[in-house]
Amino acid sequence: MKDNSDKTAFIDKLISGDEDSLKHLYVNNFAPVKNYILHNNGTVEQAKDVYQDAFMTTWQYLKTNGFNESSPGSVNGFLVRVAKNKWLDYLRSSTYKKTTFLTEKIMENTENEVLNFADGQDEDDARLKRIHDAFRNLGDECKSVLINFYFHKKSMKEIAMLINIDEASARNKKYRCMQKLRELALGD
Amino acid sequence: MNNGDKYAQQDFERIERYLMGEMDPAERADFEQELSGNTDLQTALEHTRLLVKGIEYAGMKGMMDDFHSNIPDHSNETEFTQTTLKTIKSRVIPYLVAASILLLVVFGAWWLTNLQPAHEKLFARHFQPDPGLITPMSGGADYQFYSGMVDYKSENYENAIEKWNRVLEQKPLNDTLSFFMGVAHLANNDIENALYNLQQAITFDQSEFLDDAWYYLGLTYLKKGKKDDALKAMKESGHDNAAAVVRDMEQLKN
Repeated sequence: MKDNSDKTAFIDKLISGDEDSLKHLYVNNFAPVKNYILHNNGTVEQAKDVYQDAFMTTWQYLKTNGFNESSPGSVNGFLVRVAKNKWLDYLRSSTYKKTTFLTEKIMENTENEVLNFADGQDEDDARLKRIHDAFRNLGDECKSVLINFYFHKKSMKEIAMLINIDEASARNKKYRCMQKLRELALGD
Repeated sequence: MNNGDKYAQQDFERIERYLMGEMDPAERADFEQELSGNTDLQTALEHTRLLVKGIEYAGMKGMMDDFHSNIPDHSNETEFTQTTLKTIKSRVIPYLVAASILLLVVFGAWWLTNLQPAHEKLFARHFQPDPGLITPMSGGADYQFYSGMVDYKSENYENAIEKWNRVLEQKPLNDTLSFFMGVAHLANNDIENALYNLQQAITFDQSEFLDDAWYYLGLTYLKKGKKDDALKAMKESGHDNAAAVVRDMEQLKN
C-alpha cells in the first residue's frame, strides 16, 4: 500500500542520516514531551536531555531494526512514547528520592522490544559518553574528518578536498585520528 | 608512533571495511574465520565498532543541539512562571486563609465576572477554527490529507493531527498543511505546536493562506498572553476579522 511504502521511504531517510528528515522528526515532537515532563516534576533542561536521549535511542533502533510496518501510528508517536517512558524510568529509579505512585502505562505491546533494546544500549552508553568526551578533545581537523566519514558518510575523496590534501594523506589522517581517539577514550 | 600503535593502518582499514559492510562475500568469510580464533582481532574489532558508534553519537548530538535551537524557546517563560507560582503560593496562602471568608463575601461577584484574564476572553470571543477545505470523495494520492480534513471539520483535532503528521512523513511541508496543522493545534489547545506550524505557514509568502496564517498566529499569541506579538501579527493580516481584533486589543491595552 502506498501508505506503508511512503512511511518506509521516510524511515530510510532517517536511517541514512538525512538531515532534513531528522530535523523534521526532532522539531515536531519536542513540545508534547516537554509538556509531559514539566507536568510530571521535571524541568526544561531535563526535558531536553531526556528527549535527546530518546531521539538517539529511536534512531539507533531504526538503524538496527527498521520500523515495524504493522506498528500503529507513526515514528512521531513512537519517539514521544519512548521519551515519556524514559522519564518514567527516571522517576522510578533510585536516584529520584520521592515515592511517587505511578500508574501510567504508555507503551503499547509492540514497543516492549524498544524498551529491551534501550536497556541493551545502557552498557554501551557509559563508554559512548566517554568516547564522546574524548572526541571533543580532538583537534578540529580530526573531528571534521571523522564526523564526515563515519556520520555523514562522505567519500574519502570529498573529505580530502575539504582539507586540501590528497586522498592517501586523508586516509592516513583518518587512521591517525582514530588512533588518537582510541588512546584517549579506551586507554589503548 | 609508539608501540601503542598495535594496528597498522592496513589492519585498521580492513576492520573498518568489515564494519561498514564493504567486503565481498569471500573476503568476509575469510575475515570471520580469522576472527573466531584471534582474540586480539576480536578486541580490535570491538573497539573500532565502539569508536565508530561514539563518533556517530557525537555527530548526532551536534545535530540535535542545532535542531533544538530551531525550536521556539519558551523555556525561560515557563520556568519563570513556575517559580513565580511557587513564590506566590508560599507567601500568600497564610494570609488567604485568614481573609478567605471576607474575600468570598465581599468580592464574590467581582471575582466571578473577572474569572478569565482579558486576553483569554478576547481570544474566546474571536476564535473560530477555519472552516477547512472541501473534501472530495475519491481516493488518490491525497487521501490521507483529506481524511484528516474530514476529522478536522468534525472537530476531531487529534485524529486530524495524527493523520497529517503521517502526510508530513511522505511530503515536504507546504503552506496548506502547515496552516491547517497550526489551526488544529490551536483548536486542540496546544499553543506551542500551533505557534510552530503557523510560524512556518507565514513563510510561504505567495500562499493563498497567508492572511489567514497571520490571523491565526495573532490569535495564538493572544491566547498565550503575548499581546505585542499578537498585535504585530494581527496587523499583518488581511483577514476579514483582523481589524476588529486589532481594535479590541488596542482597547485592552488602555
